[in-house]
Amino acid sequence: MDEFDLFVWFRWLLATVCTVYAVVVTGRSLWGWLTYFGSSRQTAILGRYTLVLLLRMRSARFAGELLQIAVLSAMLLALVCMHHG
Amino acid sequence: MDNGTKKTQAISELPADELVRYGSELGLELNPEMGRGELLRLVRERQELLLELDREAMLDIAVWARHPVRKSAGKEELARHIATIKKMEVQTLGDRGLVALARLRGLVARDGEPRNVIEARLRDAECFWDRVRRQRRKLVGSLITKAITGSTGEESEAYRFLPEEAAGVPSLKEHIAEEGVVGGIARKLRGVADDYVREKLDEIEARIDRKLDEIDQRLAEWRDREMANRLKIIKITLVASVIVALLSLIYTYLRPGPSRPDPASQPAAEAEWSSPPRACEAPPLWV
Repeated sequence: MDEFDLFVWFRWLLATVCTVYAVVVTGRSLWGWLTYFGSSRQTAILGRYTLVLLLRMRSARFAGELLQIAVLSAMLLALVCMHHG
Repeated sequence: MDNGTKKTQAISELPADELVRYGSELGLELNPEMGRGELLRLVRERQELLLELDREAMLDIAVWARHPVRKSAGKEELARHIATIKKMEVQTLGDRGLVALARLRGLVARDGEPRNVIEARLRDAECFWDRVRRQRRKLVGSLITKAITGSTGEESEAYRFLPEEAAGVPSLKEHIAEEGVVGGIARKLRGVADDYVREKLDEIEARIDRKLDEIDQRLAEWRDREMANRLKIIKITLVASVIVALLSLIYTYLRPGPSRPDPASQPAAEAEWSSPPRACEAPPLWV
């Protein structure tokens, strides 16, 4: 049987709480926007315009930031994998 | 004082944002960040170029690109249309049109120069991504046309100019002959009033369009700022996660092993202890 390790429990708890928190907050925010855009005809038009505005966005403008995020994600994945040896 | 001098003076008095707008009407892509002097220089250069260019040559370009224009369209209007043309298949464009197109795209071209030289210059001046985008759109257009009409859509009907505004408007003489003196004059006056109202409505519409464009641009800027902020937050979160994962990994490698048992009573445990702890035996991060 594995020996009890406080740090292992702490990181497990931290990872779980942070993940659940992020999922709940993101879900609530998305649901809030969806209900707002569906609340009336005017806001529905606004929602469609927002969608068009998002589709018109050029990802090349944020290429540097996106690249940094990709590198950081890869680093995080590698670090998690290294925990398994 | 002639109109040209008046116009030059008026342009030199314009503020920078109006210069940018006027430049875009001449087919220039101006950056509002540029200094006013630089903007003024570019606008004047474009005006001089338009004076040098033949209107018929510019009309040839509009016909070649199949942009809807009136036959009487002015050089400034034509320049505005030509600035939006990205088409590169210049085989069907006449020589004078080709020279005008190259010059309006900021290239050096002279009358009588070989076509292939000017075409090569146009190809070289095209940005790589513009070329990729054009080819992609061409391919998608051809596929969709083929899917909808069953043909490649190469054949097209002859170009027709937009109807002239004054065409078909009867004169005062014709009105009077048709409806009598009072009726004819009244109808002519009504026509003039209608024209005036239409002109004013067009002006209002253009102003509203400009305002809507400004609002759209501001919203796009706000969207970009928001997106940059969100990406920054994601980056900070990732950096924090990487640091925590790194600390966790260091702890996994350095953590002390299990307490040493009594060798006499538990020989199997001794054998287990003698092998050094390995990182792969550590529990995963999320367990």
